[in-house]
Amino acid sequence: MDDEPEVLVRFRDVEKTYDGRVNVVDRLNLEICKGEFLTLLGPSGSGKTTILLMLAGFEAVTAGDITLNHRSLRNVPPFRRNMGIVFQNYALFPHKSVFQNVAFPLVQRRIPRPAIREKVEAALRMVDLAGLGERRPNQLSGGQQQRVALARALVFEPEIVLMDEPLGALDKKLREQMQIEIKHLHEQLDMTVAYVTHDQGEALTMSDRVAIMNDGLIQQVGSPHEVYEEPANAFVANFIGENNSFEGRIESTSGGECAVRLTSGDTVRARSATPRASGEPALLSLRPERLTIDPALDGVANRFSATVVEVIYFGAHNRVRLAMAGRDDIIALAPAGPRSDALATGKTVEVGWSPEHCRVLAPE
Amino acid sequence: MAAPVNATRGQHVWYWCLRLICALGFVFLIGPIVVIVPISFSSGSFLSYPLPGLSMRWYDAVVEPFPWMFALENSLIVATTVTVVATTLGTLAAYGLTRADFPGKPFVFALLISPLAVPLVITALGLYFFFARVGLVQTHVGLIVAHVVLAVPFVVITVSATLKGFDWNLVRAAESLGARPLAAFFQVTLPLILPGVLAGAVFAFVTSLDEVIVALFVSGPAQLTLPRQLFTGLRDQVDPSIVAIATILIAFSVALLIVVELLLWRSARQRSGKMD
Amino acid sequence: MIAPAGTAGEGPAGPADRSLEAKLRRAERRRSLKAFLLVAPLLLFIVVVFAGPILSLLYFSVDDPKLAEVLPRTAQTVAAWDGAELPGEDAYATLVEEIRSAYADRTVAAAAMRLNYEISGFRSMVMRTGRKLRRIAGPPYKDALIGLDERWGDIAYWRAVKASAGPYTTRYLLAAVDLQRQWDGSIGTAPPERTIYIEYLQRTFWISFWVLACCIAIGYPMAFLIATSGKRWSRFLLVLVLLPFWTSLLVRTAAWVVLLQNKGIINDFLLYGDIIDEPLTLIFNRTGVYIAMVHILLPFMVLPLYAVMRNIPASQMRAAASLGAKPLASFLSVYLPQTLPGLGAGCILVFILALGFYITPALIGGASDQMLSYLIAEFATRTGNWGMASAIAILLLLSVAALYPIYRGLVRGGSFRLT
Repeated sequence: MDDEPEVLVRFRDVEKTYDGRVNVVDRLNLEICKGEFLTLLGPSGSGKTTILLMLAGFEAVTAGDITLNHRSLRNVPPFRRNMGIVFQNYALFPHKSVFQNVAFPLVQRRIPRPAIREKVEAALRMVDLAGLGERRPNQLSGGQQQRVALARALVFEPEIVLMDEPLGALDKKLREQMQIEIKHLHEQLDMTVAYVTHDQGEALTMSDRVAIMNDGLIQQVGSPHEVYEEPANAFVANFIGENNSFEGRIESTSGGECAVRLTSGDTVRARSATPRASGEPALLSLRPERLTIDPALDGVANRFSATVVEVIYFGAHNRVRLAMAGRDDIIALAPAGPRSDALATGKTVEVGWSPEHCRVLAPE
Repeated sequence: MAAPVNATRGQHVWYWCLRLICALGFVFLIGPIVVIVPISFSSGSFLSYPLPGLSMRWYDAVVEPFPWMFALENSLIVATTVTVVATTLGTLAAYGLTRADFPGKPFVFALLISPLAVPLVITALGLYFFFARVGLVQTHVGLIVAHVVLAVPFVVITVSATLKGFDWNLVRAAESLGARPLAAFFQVTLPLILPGVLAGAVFAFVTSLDEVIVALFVSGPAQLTLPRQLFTGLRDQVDPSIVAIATILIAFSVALLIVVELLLWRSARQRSGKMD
Repeated sequence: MIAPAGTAGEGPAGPADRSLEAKLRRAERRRSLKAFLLVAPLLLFIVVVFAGPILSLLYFSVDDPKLAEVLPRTAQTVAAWDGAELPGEDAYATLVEEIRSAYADRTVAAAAMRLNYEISGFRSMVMRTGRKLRRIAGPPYKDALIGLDERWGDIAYWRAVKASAGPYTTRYLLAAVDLQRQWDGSIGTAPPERTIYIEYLQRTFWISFWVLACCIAIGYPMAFLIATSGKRWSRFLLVLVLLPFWTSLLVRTAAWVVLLQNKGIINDFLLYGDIIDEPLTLIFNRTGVYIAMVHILLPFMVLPLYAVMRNIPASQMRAAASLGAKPLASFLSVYLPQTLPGLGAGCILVFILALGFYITPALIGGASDQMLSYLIAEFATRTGNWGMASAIAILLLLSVAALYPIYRGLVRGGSFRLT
């Protein structure tokens, strides 16, 4: 992103309720910048799809306002919003050919025939479907249908493309391939994308920014690196990636670093993004890949001895379950190699991690 | 029902008993319809086999202007009008019933399809008294109105069933791509539910074409329909010309059956295509 | 950017929230109204042309205006009369005067017809009285009238006049269940020559019941065979059921008339094969009615059953067998319960349709095989007795209405498939 990104969509204090009592989206303030790939990530029922539907104009906004290019979208019907949408099950028109599906938005805009043909063919080439224009959607594979939906949403050069779990129906391999293709298209076409998913891997690999939702509230917005490495709260830490957590109380603080006494009595040094006071309850978050077994002696402030409970072979690495600090569900990832092959159930090992990889969070 | 393997003797006996019942059942269903067809080509006037010879003489009687061709014309006029009116009203209503909830919706649905459950004689009696007061007895309009009542539940049921499987996301997709609501209806919704609508229309047409009880009550000689003429013929004097007209109607049923099966097959194929 | 912390609004409903709720309800109502407007034309049509007329049958079954229209003052007089002894001279005078004028402007026949419902022969008696009335010059009218026709001196006839005085009557509804109101107001059994209606009702149910039983016995194995055959066979067998279903009811009835006649195909075949020596009587009796009705209604049993059976995986019966259930036990405990929705739908359809049968019994049955529908048609179109037609229609309608809630549940449950 450039230094002063131009805001395309702005949600201002947006709320949504169906029954007047429970807000499915609450106090939403969010900006989507031009050219940005923003992902709304959250468990099902967290309100992310509702946000997309409000942006597309299919759900009324209960309170607050959504603007596009600084103009309110209130009372603008869906067909005038100029947003391309890729639906979860593609929503391809089964009675129209692939060509007719992609041409549909152009026909609605009364674009002359020759121009339509040109644009549709270009769009189909772009998604590698050149020559399949005469097929019906149900004669295509899932991945191909997905590409048609993409071409249809892009062909009329919309202001923004909305994608609602577009890869949910594909198998794992195809999904990963499409992730990369969508990312490439985004870069090539310099388009703005708002993407909804519950798959954290997808969110991390594709997005410029990720907004993590839970219970109708945004929990954290930031780059994939930020939300992974510096989770703002326990929900984010647990929802994204694997997480080991320890409970305890702040013993002392100095700068951004705290000493935390765990319930087991051990003391751990960790970093905190916000100032903490001594005596405050704290939750420590530690990613499994930051926990080293048999650490080299220097630069590791936290050292413990642990017992191996279980080793699970994962090919490139081993997942090791450890008992330590009064718990027996601490996970560490050990890269495959002679050292980790020697790990056996019941063996006592030295483990450690540096304070900067261990975050102090407020308990839930 | 595959033949049992590793079965006891009793199971085998039972299996063949069931097969026999089924075979008799199918012969019973289709036999009478098949057996009368050749009689219509008989050169004699007995309604039995063996045929003395083959001829088309009974078909010549059928194509005489009166009564059969007159009755056929009336039937077609009435049935066509009924089909148009019932399909339009029924499709609108089914669309409204699926689009949103309103108070009393289950009751409204039940009311709309209730003509199916009320014995025809009772419907005929009510319509007869009603038409007598408003001057519709022995008019074409009266007969058409009466048949719309009987035909419309079929349209409501078939179109509702089709709409139940309809993916409303397609309408959203169309609107997001710039189609106005009316354009979205005509370009996306209607083409997709068309098989259901057409199947409903065929049902409406057949209902009117086959209806005799209400016609006996509310129509006069000028509205003589094919089933009424058949009824009169069967009651008074059964001759092979009745069998000839029956044969024509059977051929017509076969054609309709094929049309409806094709429609439903297409509709099912479209729906399954959407799923994968 | 981190949204301010807080739980998703489940806060107490303040005044602002309440107006919000109202707003949401209004939006919802607008949507409902739009949907309702699409349904409205058909709803209006069905209410006016179908529901209204059916409900009006209730009115016609108690409506009794004829006598009061034609002989208004006589109607008043007999209404006030206690019916214990012959009425006085006044009543005779009024009657003579009114019959005289009604005979002159030719309206008397309607009243005479009405009186005939009470005592047969009353119609001709009134018409004859009207014709001879010019012989009566002056009072005393009582003696003169009895002189003209001594039945005017029979109190039973005067009680019949009183019973017909209108404007409303329960006689049709009572008659439909073989009852009548006595002259003193009590309800008693109708005279034997009129106690035919309960018999018709019983016969209607009896025929419908046997037709239903046959449809289950033949239809269940047939549906099972279609549902469990291979794809091609199943398609073919289904067409064998659908073709009769699509064929005109009259065509199918015609086929049976042709087949069942004394010199028809079945008898010729049996005689030719020396199976019988004399033609069997198959038509214009109960046997013919059963055969033709089962033929017409069988698809209505097979199709819903098939719709349910094809969704029952074959693996279930295998599972039952592998778990040690004998064939009959696994059928009763695994298969049959799952087909009950289809069986229920089929039974209701067949039974309701059978209750209303008219055409087939009329063409194939004899005089003692007619059902309630036949009576309704007779009263409405042949004798013009709207009251009696309406009363029997209500009787039939109530029989069906008792089954209607089940029918509705089944239709909405989706086990009703049209093809």
